[in-house]
Amino acid sequence: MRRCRKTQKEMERYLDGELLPEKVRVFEAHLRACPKCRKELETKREQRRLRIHGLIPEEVPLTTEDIIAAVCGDVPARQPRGEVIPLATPPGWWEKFRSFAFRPAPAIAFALCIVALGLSLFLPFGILKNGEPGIVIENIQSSSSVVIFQSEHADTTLIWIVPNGEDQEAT
Amino acid sequence: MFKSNKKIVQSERAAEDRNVWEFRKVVENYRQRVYQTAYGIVQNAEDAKDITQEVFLKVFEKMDTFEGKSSLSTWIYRITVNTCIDMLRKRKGMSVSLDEGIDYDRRMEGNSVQISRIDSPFEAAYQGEIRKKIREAFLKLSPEHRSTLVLREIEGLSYQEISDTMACSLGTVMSRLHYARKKMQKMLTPLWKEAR
Repeated sequence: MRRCRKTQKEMERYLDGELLPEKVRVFEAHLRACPKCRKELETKREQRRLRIHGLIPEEVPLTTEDIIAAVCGDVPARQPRGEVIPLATPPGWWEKFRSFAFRPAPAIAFALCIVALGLSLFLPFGILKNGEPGIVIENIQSSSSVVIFQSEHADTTLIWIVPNGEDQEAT
Repeated sequence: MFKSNKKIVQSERAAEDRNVWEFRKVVENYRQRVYQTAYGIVQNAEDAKDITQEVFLKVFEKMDTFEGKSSLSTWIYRITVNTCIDMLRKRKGMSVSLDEGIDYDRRMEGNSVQISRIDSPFEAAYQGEIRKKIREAFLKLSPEHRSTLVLREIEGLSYQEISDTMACSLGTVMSRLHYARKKMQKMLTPLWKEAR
């Protein structure tokens, strides 16, 4: 009777495979002699099988590829549910212009245009300075002199504002 | 300079490929065990799926820092159990749905397995009511007791392996197992009587 109590106490450890070898020998010797303990052990084994069967999943829904893709691939591990918001909005006209204009080639072209415009404005004056005298059409005296100047051959009129004291030099 | 940079990039890429290749082997070997353990503890397929992905993400991130002090399986089981316990603690107080179990039972009823008479307790496990009651009893246990029971009975780990996995003493493992079984036995006593 005492042996039965001890055997029943050790049953779970026996089923777990954690009973020491010398205790296993005694335990099994008792089982051979005691039908009651044998039945009890069989019941415990069945209950354990039922318990396991009630708790394990039917199948594993994740394949190796699913996990690899989720962890290492482009697919994020936890993909957000619902609508996917793009990371950046498409560029507007200003962004497009800026990205175009601030590249070297268009910037150099723009600078050349400005230089050409400037030259076209000041080129006639340059000719006058090369010895061709002009005609002073009108000289308005005030705090500063305004000289309207026209070259003989060119169809260009220049209005020249000269501060007082520099009249002679300007003429 | 350029050549050395190219070499560095190549060696980094090779290391990355090697990591992914090693990781693939780990996934192949442990995918089923991780999912089964997670499902066993949380008793919900969707959560178990999320946990499995999270576990492998952690494994991949920390693979380089794994020092081999414990075995790889112990390390992976530890990550799995900790992730499950964290999730259950976060959800503490929330009711646990047993719908999934009911769905499973309905599926089983829909299959060709129509048991008019319970021939053995094992066959009886297919009956929805029994499965549901086992799950109900199990879900009343604490996350630590559930984890210990799953590692022992479903995964077949030894007491020492459970102790290493859960970072607790052998005595604690035995005590948790004893308590979990006793509590489940108490809750399921009427069921066992019916099954007989």
